[in-house]
Amino acid sequence: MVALIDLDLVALAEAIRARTVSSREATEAAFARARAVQPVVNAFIAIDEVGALAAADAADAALARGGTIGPLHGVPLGHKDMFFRKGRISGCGGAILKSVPADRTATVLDRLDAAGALDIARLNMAEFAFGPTGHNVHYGDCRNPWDPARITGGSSSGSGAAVASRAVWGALGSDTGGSIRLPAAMCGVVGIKPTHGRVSRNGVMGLSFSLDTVGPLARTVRDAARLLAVIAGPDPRDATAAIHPIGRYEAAACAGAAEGIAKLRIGIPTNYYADDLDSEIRICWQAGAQQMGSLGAELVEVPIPLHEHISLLVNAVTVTEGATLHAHWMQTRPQDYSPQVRARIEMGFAVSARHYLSALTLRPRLTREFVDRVFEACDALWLPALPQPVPERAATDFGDGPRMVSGLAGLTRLTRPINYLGLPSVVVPAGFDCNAMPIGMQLVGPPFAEARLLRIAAAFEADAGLKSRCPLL
Amino acid sequence: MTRLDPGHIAALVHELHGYSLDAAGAVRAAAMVAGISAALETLAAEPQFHEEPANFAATLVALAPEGD
Repeated sequence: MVALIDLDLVALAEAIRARTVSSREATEAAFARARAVQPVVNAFIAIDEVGALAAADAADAALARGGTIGPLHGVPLGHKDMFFRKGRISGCGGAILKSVPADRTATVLDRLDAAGALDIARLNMAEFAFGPTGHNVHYGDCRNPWDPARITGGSSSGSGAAVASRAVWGALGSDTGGSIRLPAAMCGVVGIKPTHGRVSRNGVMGLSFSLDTVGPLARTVRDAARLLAVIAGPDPRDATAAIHPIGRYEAAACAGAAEGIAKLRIGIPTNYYADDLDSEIRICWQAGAQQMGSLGAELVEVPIPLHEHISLLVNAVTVTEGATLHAHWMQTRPQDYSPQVRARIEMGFAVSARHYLSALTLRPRLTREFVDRVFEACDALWLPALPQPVPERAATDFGDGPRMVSGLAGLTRLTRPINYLGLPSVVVPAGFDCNAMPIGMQLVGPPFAEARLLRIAAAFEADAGLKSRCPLL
Repeated sequence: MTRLDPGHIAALVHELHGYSLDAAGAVRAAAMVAGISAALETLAAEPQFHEEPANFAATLVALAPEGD
């Protein structure tokens, strides 16, 4: 018999709907698992046992009464501690908001509530989402469940670790330069960074409003697709949320797993994403491409335009908007930031308005050029998410020292250009390195092609046979 | 612009934002601004009269493939 925590999200939701499992049983199983793994991974900031059990009982009672049931009815989730819920404290990984109750509820939480999900925990994260490793001086480092001596990736560190640990069935994260994709890749789970504007950012802590995106981390492609379908769509409370129609994400994932990806063209970059890769990452990336070829996809080589420059423009936007958001606190209470986050934010004070606005003004043209050139040749790009194996925490504890800039930039080299271009990306587990650490690959497509990416990712996942593997905690 | 004087950058930041960069922070900021400047010299050599940041959202919608 499969243990409750080993069911994926879709299977649990169906079991609850069929009343073979109660939401209370699932929630108690999540708590037991969280208590067991927390000393190792430090993924949880707070667990709301009383509130979650009351919500679980209410979900079970509603089911007993009959009536309309949402696609996540009774399913326990936890989220990066930057999704505000009115009256609740979310510290956003920093010291400054540790005692400030939120004045609003994020649209994405409202939508998950309406779909029946339980919000059982607030999850660890990088300070103000400003870090790709999972280190945190205020709440303690989040640690990788596959090897706690190694990083989880960030900034959605707790989301990656909690999902990989099987302590929650899914989690929200945010991605400004790789913050969903890196923890997904390093923790061996699926992560979706949607098209810019696909998911509302209302009630979500901002880091860089031009680049921020919200998306799910989950155990399987189909699980992630279901979560995306619930949270995506226009929002009158977020003027930047796109009106563009929502795709049939879960159906696309099911179709990919069942029917494969014959006739789709998978782009294999000849530069930038192919450059300076660790040999194990390169082998896994190439093997994954061959695997998709064996599933019927056509592999095409694709040159990648302008990326060295785009990487620099991302920095101009991120640090300037970050410095704008944090200016008052940086001036009045700089001691409340970690040295690294303070050192990164302060760089934004030096960027001129002309440079910042030029970086943003170029964005439509560079995105048009990229999409026209790349996606005329292929339907989706197959890329590594991280150029190196998952590093050790000690080796990436850069602080504000001389290796900080190059070390952090190296970790996000393959993810941050996608945020500037606003494109969707799905990370899927693709293998393990010689240290038995996960290797994740990302699929990138044209704007609003999330369903296409999920179809491909699900086909790959079904063929790879990795989704039953979980860390031995 | 290939090099910037970190001292000038620190003075400007202090004057404009009331924030004090230490020596290492000034060097980091100067290096970053020089890199951004070099990228923009390559990418934005011509005036961009027909573009503005607000076009980005519409650009994404226009580039979305039909049927996805």
